[in-house]
Amino acid sequence: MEKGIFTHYQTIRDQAHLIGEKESRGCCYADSWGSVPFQRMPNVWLEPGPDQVNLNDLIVGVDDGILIDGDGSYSIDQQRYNFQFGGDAFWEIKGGKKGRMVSQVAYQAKTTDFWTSCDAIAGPAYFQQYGALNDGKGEPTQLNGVSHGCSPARFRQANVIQTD
Amino acid sequence: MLTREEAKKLTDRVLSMTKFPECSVSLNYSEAASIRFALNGVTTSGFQVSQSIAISVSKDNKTGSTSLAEFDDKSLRAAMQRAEQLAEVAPPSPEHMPGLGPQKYAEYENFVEGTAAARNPEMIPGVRTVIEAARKKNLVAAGFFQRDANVNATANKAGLFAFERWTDSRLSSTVRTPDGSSSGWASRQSPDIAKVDGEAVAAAAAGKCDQWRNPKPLEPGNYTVVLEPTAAADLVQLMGFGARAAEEGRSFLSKKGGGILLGEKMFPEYITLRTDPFDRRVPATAVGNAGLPAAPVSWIEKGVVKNLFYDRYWAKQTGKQPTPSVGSLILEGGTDSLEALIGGVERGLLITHFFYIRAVNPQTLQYTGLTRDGLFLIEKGKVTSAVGNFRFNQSIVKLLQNTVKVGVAERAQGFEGDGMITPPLVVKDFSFTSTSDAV
Repeated sequence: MEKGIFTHYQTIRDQAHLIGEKESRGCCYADSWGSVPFQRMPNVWLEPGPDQVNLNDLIVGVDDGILIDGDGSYSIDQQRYNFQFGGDAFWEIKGGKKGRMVSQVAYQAKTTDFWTSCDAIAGPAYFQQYGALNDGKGEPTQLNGVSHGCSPARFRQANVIQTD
Repeated sequence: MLTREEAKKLTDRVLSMTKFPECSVSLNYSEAASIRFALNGVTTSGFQVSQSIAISVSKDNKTGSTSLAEFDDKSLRAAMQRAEQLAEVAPPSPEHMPGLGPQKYAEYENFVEGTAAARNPEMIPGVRTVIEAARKKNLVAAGFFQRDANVNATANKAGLFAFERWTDSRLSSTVRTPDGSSSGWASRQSPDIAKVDGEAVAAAAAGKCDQWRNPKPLEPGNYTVVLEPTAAADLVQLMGFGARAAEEGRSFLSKKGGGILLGEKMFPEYITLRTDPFDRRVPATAVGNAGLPAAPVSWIEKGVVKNLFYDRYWAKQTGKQPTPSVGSLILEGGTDSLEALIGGVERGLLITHFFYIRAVNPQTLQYTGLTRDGLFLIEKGKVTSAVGNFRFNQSIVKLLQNTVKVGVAERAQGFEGDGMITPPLVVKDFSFTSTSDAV
């Protein structure tokens, strides 16, 4: 994605010709010498926002919302339409201020709706590198380590649910 | 296949390579043959031999571990040295348990020679059956047929030697319409490859794809559901009965304010959930948890919580016996067919299986995930239409508490986990929280 426009697929050599390209985009992985290599996601980062934007700027612009920190439960369908994610810690945001901690929070959305609702990203000073060692795909399942990095980002009108 | 004698010789050799007071060795060897198919044709035929040795050494409660796949003396000695170096710098574990001494195991194995010897001639008929069924309906089949034969040998310096062999086989297929607008799935598995029913996989996968065309959207909410055995297995296999978590207040088996729910009737009378390593339908062995002799364990009997799982450390701390077995779960069934269960539902949903199932709240066993490959509306005891996929958020404890009927039990395994033996279930108030456009 570049400036909100979808520009390239993540391809392997066998797929490039299907979309009229001459070479792959290097997304072929196997998790061991004995596994069949196939297309899967490479490391993916979200570009930080402008230098001057900080986390508080994102919070100030929210009248009624939730601040989510860290990593929690995650699940997404096979075509990446419907996802549900949790977090590690949650705070209410009321009237542009971070308030009390809350629990039992998860958010669900359709991928494209969610990213369309992103209206602010904090600057490079807030960028942090994260990732997962157990990204699963395939039958039999193969595990892959992936790196993801981002700065805090704000999404409008996400569907937040209360869990058990 | 690696023999008992060869395994003993090899583990003895590794154990002799250290002067540390404690050393344990786990040797794994497997042979797997497979056929992968897609676009109604075979794409890959595979045969894979894997071997590995995991070495663990301990001294003064400090443990170092490593593993390797080369069994020559030089490699083994280098691995042993690495494990010893790691143990030297590791912090002592306050929960370290000394190696288990010699054990006596039941004369039992579920190793089917026909499965261990099977190659393409034994697997192609099943694959062909699925592809032909798809072609006949102008559908597109993809899938995987694999069989494996496995050996594990565990030995330690305290004198333990356990040797186990088992086989398993599985044919699964996803059948889709050429335009990708409908999808069906089915799987059959058995330690005996001769019992893997290709006709059943073909009929179910192609049939569901055919039937699921033009799904209509329904509003999310609470529905009565009929879970086919795979859908039931996807969720019920996630039940855990750890004593430590219960006693430390971290589990659905913890009582509010202290204490545990052992002995309490938490579920309906017809819910009995147990482990049986000696059931021929599952690929289990006579060697149980942590090298203990395997034995059947009842977790829930007629709705009552009967046993909790104690590992060796927690058993010692609490003065209990360690639990011999986990896994090989069996949810007792009844006599009703799936069709009979559907026939008894006034309005509900029939679920084939689930996808991407993850814990939301470990304490209530609330999980989330999505329906996939066939979701159908039941009205007045009959399947009346295809329905668009849903995301669920559902506690598995509540699922068993809300189960109103069970059918005939069978072995079932979905995309995730080892599966189990379970009947189809009728469950009221199953919670769907959003829709998904995925096919």
